[in-house]
Amino acid sequence: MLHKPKTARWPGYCCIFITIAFLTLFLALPLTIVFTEAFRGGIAAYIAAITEPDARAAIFLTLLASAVSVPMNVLFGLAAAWALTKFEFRGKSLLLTLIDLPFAIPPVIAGFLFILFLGTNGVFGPWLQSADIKIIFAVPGILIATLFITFPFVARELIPLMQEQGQDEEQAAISLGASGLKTFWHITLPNIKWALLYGAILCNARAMGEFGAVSVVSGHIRGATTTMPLHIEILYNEYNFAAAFAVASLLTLLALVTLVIKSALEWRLKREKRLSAEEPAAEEGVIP
Amino acid sequence: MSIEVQNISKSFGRFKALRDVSLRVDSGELVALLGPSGSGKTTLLRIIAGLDAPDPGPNARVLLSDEDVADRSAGSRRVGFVFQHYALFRHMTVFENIAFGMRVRPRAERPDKAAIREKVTQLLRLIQLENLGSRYPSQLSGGQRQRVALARALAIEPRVLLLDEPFGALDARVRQDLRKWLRRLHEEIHVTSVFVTHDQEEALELANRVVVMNEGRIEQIGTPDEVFHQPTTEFVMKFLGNVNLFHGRVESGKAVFGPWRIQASGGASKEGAPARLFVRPHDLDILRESDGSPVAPAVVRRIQSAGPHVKVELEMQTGETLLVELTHERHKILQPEVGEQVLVSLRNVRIFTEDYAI
Repeated sequence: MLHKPKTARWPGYCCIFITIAFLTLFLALPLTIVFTEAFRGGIAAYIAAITEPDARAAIFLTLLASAVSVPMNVLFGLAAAWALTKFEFRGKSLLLTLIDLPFAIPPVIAGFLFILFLGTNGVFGPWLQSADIKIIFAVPGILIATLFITFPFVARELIPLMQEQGQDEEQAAISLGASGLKTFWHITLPNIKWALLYGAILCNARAMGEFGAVSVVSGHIRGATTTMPLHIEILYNEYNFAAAFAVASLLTLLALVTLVIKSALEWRLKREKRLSAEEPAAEEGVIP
Repeated sequence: MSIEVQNISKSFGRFKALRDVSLRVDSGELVALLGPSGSGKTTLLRIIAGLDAPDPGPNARVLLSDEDVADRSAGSRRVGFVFQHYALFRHMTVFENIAFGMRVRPRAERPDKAAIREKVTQLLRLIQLENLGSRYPSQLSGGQRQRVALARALAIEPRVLLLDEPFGALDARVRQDLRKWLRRLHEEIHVTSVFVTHDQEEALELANRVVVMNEGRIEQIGTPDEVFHQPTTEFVMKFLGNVNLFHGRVESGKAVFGPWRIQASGGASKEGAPARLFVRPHDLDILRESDGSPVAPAVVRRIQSAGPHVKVELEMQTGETLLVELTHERHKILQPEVGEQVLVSLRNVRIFTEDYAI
C-alpha cells in the first residue's frame, strides 16, 4: 500500500475560494448585470432598442467588418504561414516581426496612423480627395482599421503548428506525384483545419469587438459609421442605459458563443496534437 | 532503371553538403550510402529524388535511366521516396495513405476505384499488414509505419526506390527483422534501390554495393567485402568497425612500428615519412611464446567475454591501449588473466603513409 504523505488541505481550499470569489465578482456579476440591465425595460423595449434604425445600421456595419476581415485574414494568414514555414528566404524573420506589429501597436495609435496617411490632411489625403475617395470617417476606413487590427490572429495560430508539423508530409505528397494545389488541399489543409478555424473565431471576435482603432477613424456618424461598440458608447454617453445594455447584451452573447466554440476547438486541437505526438504502438506482428 | 549523378555539388549557405560527387547505380542494384551525419548522404538522396536542386554547374547532371531529369519535378520523376520519420499522412488511414499516389494522378491516367483497391490490397499483403488497412498511422508501431511508408512509395510503381535512414528510428530487434525483410523484398521486386544509413552493419549486411561518404565527398565505392577488407582511405578503415592505430615511420622502404617492420609493396615512400598502421581487433592475436613472427609485449588490462567475441584490452609498453578480439575457442585455449604479461602478433594490417596505402 502507498500512503500519501499528510499535507494540510487548507491552502488548496483557500486558493479555490479566492479564485471563485474573484471570478464571481469580476466576471459573473458584470455579465448578469449586462443582461438584467438590458431587460430592465421589458422585452418590448429590448427589441425596440436593438431594432431601431441606428442600432440596425451599427449591427450591419459590425457584421460587414467581420465578414470582410475574417475571410481576408484567413487568406492572408494561410499565405503568410505557408511562406514562413515551408520556405527558406531572406527577410523571413523580418516578415514574422511585421505580422506581430498590430499586436504591439496600441489600437488607438493604429487608428491615428491611418488618419495620418489617409485623412484629409494626411500624406495621401489630397490625392484621395481629388479622386473623390472617402476612407477616413467612412465605412472603408472602418474596414481597413479592422483588417489591420485582426490580421495577426490567423497567421499566429497557424505558424507554430505548421512549424511543428514540418514539410515531410508535403514532400511525401509531392514525391508521390501530387501537384502543389492537391498537396495543399489534401495534405496541408486537413492538418491545419482546426487551428485555422480557431484563428478565424478569434479574428471574428476581435473584428466585432474592436473599439480603439475603429473609434478614431469612424468619426461617430450615427447610423453611418458606428459599429456596435461605438453605438453602445454613444447610447451610454446619452444616459440611455437600457438601450446601451441591450446592444451590449448582443455583443456579450457573441462573446459567450465564441468562448464555447473556442473551448471546443481547443479540445479538438489538443487531441490532434496528442494523436500526432503519440508514441508508436507496441511492436506487434514482427515479420517472421 | 539506373541512376547516375555527375559532378554534383550542393551548398546550404556557407556549408558545403556535397563536393563534386559522381556516382552510378546500375539497374536492380541495392546500394547503401554510408557515412556519419553531415557527410551529405541524405542531400545526395534528395537531389536524386528532385526534392532538392543541386548547385548549378556546367557538368552537373542527374540521370534516371540515362535520361537527364534536371528539368523534371520530383512528382514526375516516378521515384519512390521513403522518409526517415515515415511522413505518413496522419489524417488518412493506412489504406488511404497507400492509395494516395494513385488517387492524385490526373484523371486520364488515374486507375479506377476497383484497380486502386486491388493494388492497395496487394501491397498490404506484401507488407504483411492485410488487416490494418483501416487504422490510422498513430495506431501503428514504428516498424509497421515504416512498412506502410514503403508500400505507399511502391504504389506509384517507382522506377527507383530511395530510402532515407529507413530503420533509423526503430529499436534494434525490429531493425534486424525489417532489414531481412527489405533484403527479401528487393530480391522479389528487384527495383533499383538506394538507402542512406550511418550504421555500417546495416550497410554491409543489406547492400550489394556500399558508397562510403565523408564531408560531402565519396571516400570509396565497393562491395561490402571490398570496403571492409580493402579500405582505400583511413576514414573508411576507421568508420567500418573498430580499429587499433599505431604511429610509425618509413625506414629504408619499410614501415616500422615498434617490433614490426612491414614491407611497403606499393613503391618507396620518403625516408622518415610518418606512417599509420591500422589493425582490426580480430586481426590481432595473443601469444604466450613467440612463434617466430614479430611480436610486442603487452599487459592484459581487461577481459570482456559476454558477446559473440571475447574482447581483451591490452596495454603496450608505450602506454597505448590495444583492443583484441578473440574467438571463444581461442580464449578457452589461452585463458589469459588480467595483469598477465603476454605477446601480441599481427595478422592482417593496413598501412597508410602520406602518399600511399599498402
